[in-house]
Amino acid sequence: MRLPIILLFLLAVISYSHGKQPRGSLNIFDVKPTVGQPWPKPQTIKTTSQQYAVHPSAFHFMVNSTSQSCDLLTSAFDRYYRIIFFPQTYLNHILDPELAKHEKQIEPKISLADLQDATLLKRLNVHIAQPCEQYPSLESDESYSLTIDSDSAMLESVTIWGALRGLETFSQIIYADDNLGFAVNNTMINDFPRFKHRGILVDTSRHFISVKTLKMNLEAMAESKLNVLHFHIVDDQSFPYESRTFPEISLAGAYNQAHVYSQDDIAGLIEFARQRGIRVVVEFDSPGHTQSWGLAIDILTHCYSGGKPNDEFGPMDPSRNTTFDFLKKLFSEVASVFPDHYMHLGGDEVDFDCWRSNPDVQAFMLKMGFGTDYSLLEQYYMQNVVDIVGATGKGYTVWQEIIDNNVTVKADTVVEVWKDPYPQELARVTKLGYRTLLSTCWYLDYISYGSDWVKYYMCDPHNFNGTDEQKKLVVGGEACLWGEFVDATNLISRMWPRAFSIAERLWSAADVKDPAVAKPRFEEHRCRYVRRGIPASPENGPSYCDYEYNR
Amino acid sequence: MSHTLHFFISIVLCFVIGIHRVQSEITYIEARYPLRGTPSAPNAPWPQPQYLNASLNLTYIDPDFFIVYSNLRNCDVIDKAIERYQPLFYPPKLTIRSPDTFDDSRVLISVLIEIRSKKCDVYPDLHDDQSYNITIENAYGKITAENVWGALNGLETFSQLLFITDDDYLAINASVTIRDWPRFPYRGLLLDSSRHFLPVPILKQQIDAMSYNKYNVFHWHLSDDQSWPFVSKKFPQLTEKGAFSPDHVYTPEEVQDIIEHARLRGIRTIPEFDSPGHVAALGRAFPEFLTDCYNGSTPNQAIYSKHAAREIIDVTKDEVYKFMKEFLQEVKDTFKYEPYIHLGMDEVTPACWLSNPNIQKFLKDNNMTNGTDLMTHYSNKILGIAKSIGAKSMVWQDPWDDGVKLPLGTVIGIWKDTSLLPDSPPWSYFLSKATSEGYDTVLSAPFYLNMIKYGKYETNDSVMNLEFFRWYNIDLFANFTGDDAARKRLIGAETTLWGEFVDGTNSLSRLWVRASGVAERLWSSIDVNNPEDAQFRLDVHRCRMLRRGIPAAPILNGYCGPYEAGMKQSMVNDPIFSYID
Repeated sequence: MRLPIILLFLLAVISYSHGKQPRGSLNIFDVKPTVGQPWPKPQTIKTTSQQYAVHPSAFHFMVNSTSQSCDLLTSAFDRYYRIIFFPQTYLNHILDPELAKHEKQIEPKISLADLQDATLLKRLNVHIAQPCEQYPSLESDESYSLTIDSDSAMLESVTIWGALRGLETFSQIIYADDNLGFAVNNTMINDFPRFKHRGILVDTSRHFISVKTLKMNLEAMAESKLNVLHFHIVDDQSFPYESRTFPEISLAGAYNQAHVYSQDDIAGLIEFARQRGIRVVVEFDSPGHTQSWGLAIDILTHCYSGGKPNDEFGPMDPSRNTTFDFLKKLFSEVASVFPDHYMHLGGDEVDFDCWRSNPDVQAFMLKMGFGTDYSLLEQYYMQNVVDIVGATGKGYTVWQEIIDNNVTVKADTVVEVWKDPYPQELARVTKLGYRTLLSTCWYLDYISYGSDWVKYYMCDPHNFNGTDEQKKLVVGGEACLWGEFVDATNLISRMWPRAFSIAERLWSAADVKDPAVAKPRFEEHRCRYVRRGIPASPENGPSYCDYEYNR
Repeated sequence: MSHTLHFFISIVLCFVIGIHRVQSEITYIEARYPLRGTPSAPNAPWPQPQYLNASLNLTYIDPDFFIVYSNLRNCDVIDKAIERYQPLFYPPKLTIRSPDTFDDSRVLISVLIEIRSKKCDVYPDLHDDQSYNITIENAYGKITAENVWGALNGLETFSQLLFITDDDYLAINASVTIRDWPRFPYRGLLLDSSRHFLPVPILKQQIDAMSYNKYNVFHWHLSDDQSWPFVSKKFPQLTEKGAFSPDHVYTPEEVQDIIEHARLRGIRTIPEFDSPGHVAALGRAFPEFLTDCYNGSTPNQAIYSKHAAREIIDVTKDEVYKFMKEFLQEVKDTFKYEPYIHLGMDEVTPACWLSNPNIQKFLKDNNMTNGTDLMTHYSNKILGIAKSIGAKSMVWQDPWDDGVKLPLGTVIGIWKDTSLLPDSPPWSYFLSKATSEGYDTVLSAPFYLNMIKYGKYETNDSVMNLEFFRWYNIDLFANFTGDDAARKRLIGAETTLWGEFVDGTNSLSRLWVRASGVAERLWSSIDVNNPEDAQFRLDVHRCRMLRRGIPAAPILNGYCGPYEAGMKQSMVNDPIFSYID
């Protein structure tokens, strides 16, 4: 790299926080952001000090003559041209074309004529070995290599998804340079992800999140090579999914009709994600967390007190066949709307009190021989649900309770661990032979004062006692931003840059784990987001970006 | 007592009105803990007025025929306010139907703003009468106030009473009586432009949000160790050397723009230039002002945890005072209407001073012995300079804690507390002591809104968001031991958003709507202290702020309307409210 990582040691003692702690522990070292270093860190990267100028009127992307190509690649070229040369207007161009029309076109500071003596990088040749897949999957190969050693750079990958990751890296190693305008150094990168599933959970039930904000978040994910949107679309509080089969659920269960995702909205999100190599795994959580479903359809358990039904409802009512008839129809629709192989079935936090109170459920328990063990009823319910979804040909992801509760699931089931202590939980679930995701240590809704990205950075999904086989079963993890206190006003600035930690932990090599080393690169990436129009908040104390966010 | 009684009656009436339209709705955190508290009327004002009585029936407003006018002609504060409130009365992207099918008697024709003093004041003062009355009766409304600042408060409350009904009419209660005045005259917000730069459009939105919550002092922390963004005409090197970059500065024109923006909203702007500590950025422009710290006989040696190599202003140097006199004169001229300058003086540890042989000699020559003597020397000099240029002084509590005798008339900011400094007494101790000694005092210790944490406040049968409850629930006089005279010397409080982890990306959403909780604590009657009810009213207010383009973050689950951030009718980032060129 042109500049090594420099920690600038200030002469002065800088007080860190007004009265936070006694002086002495207040000393901080200013962080000097890196220049042109990517996040997450590639598996191998070699650079020299040789610089190439990159100019908007003398650079283009090319599909290599022997390469596979598709619309995903050509539209990515359009995007990355804009990201590289016009980052400040890029996001409006994507999300708010009307607003973008009024934006001043930014003229390059350096004209092509000024670069007569410089070595220009004129093109990036892209070569993709395999025909483009329509959608990414858990099995997709995201590896790529990037070589910049002449006026013609080379990006090679097995799949379109690897090419997208490589383009992102390429956009990040180009930096603003006083003399050259935009510059990139002689670079060789070989890169691939450590984990296949690198996810973000967004909760659109506690608060509705506008489609525009979700798209901004998908864009932010792509810029850190995150590849799964875990779309926690419904919950107790609201049901914003507009079902084709049961439109009455969102009519009654959404906050109001402005707070609904239409089928067009969903299709638009899936396409926006697909363009960026991001899977959309939708979660329809049941049997608990379903109060909003029951506002339109009689599927919830009626709770009783004093021998009479009160006005309250509990989890789904497993004692009625109609419940499962309903789920068959709903999940069959969901399976056709969301192309990903996996559907998240929830299954967490089931409260037994209402089941216990209901005489029909009690009778059903007797009939089924469950005695008074309501976890057997829960198991019965989930077994039905996984069988229903399994019959659609889909795989499923579930919260760990399902496995804790001995439900028989398909071999390709992915189990999401969210409970502590996570090393024991991971060891237990992988020992059972399931593919596993970790989210316990990455609940980003738990805010705290200070640089909490470090805590997330230190958490590793392989941090448990297990065999190599068990470790291999860990397919990745997810940063979860539950929505109790989050809506579109603060989702992006709360998610980013804190989710950078998860992105690097899940992509980069296991030995990339020192936050002090990562910090200058983290700072550059934060300012990169701000420059690209994403309000990623400051996480490392006092600092500044060349372009500040002002809206 | 009668106020309290009326207060409860009015709440009941408002709730009935609420049937017309629930514009927004908060809901429980967890289903098994339903929310307690009384749902709010859609037009409940925030902060809660001292006395409010409103009828059940409504009157309607026709945007094309409704006028607001004043008995003052050509008064900029009033004229610009009336203009400014147009998009607040009539949210531009929401549908408002003309009430032309209603009987004329049900259409509000006008609101008269009557300013009894008949004076167009230029700048608000701590001792101004900030009260106002609102009456709406028989299709006419009237806001009366002693002066323009009270009138602005009244106009803000009036604007909050307007709401859009289910069938898209703009409505207000047909009969309204409000008498309102603040509990504390000083209701401040501190923003820190040094740890991170806050762009001008963000500052303007912050000031707008302050006015929607009846905050009336913008405490602008303009310098610190990290950067010096204030462009000085006399000393351009301050920003040339001390700012993050040439783009991270406030030009004189921008500073005037901010002061004017605040003034027109009845908000004072008090600048803070902190010294003799927190001056690393100043020291980049004037290295000679800093103290050389010694390790034994070697100068410029850091002993970390005690002192840096060079730090804090060397109080023995005459050129420091020459500079301070010229600079503070410029500050005074810049903030020309504001009597106060905040001089900082916090977090000065004398270890570096005492290590320096020149200062040791100075101590001896002047019959001094310790750091407190040096701080007394410095503060006497600086407070004297401030006085000589006609400025009044505010300082943080630190020199006073350390035994420096500050002249009465110096306003002391109480920021220390056990929660911030484990060895410190609680803020109530400092507050009682300072006010009892005769100092006017501003409390910020319990209002550090930059110190975020996740939490839920659980009672047996309900759950509240701790990030609302813990600010709202502060009793400013908890454990207060002073007498009534001392009590009156607590002139108010400041919400502080220190800037370590805050910049343009998150400043607005991090501060609001939490800072509204403090606003009600500072304005409303001490009896308005039921957080379970308040959270419903605050939710209505959050949605109102969203309609006004402020990305105020939620305190609970729920929704506002089709104008939330990122939605088609969103006003967040709309040019009307965002001040982006």
